[in-house]
Amino acid sequence: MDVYIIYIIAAIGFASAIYLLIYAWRHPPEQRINRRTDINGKRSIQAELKELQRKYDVVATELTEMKNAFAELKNKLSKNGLI
Amino acid sequence: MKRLSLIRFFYWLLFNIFLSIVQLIILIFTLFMRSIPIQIDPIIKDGVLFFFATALVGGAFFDLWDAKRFPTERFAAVFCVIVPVAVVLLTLMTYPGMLADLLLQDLPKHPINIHKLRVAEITVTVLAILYSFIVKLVMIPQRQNHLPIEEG
Repeated sequence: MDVYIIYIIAAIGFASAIYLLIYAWRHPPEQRINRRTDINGKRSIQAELKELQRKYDVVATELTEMKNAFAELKNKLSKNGLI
Repeated sequence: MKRLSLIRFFYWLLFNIFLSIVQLIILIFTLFMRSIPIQIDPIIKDGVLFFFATALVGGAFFDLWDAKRFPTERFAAVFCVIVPVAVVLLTLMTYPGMLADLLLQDLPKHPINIHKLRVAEITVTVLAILYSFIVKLVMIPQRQNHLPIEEG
C-alpha cells in the first residue's frame, strides 16, 4: 500500500514534466521568435524586390516604346520639312 | 534554422554527470578492482543517484530563475516548481531511511524495501534528466544558457 505514495508522487512529477514540455514547446523564447521574424522580414523584402524589378521592367519597356514613337514622329516631321 | 542544439545539452549533461556522479564512478572502479560483479542493487543502495538528481534539478531550476525565463502562466509556474519538489520529496523520503539503516542498530531487523528504493531512485533520475532537458534545451534561450554559442 505504502509503495503507492511513491507511485503517486512519481505520476504527479511526470505529468508536470510533460505539461511543462508542451508549454515550453508552445512558448518559444524571444530569440527564436526574433530570428523567425528576421527570416520572415528577409523573405518579404526579397518578394518586394522582385515586385519592384517586375515593375521596373514594365516601365522600361514602355519608355523604350515611347522613345521609338518619338523618333518615328521626328523622322516623319523632318521628312515633311516641318522641323 | 536550428531549433534545438542537442550537442550543447549533452555537453551540459556530461559536465553535470561527471561532477555529480564521481562517487558512482569510484564505486564502480572499487568493485571492478576487487573483481566483484557490478550489479544495479549496490548502486541503488549507495544513493549516489539521489545526489545526482537533486544537483541536476537544483542547477536547472536556478538557471531558469537566473535567466528570467520563469513562466508567467499560472499552471506552468506551478508545474515548474512541482517537478523539483517531487524530486526532493522522493529523495527526502528514501535517503534518510537508507542512512538510518547504517546508523541505527535496531533497524536491520526491518531492512529497507529494495523495490521501493529502486522505483524511487529510477523515477528521481529520469525526472531530473527530463526536467533539465526541458529547462536547458527548450525554455532558456540559447544565449542565456551560460554555454559556448554555436555558430550557424
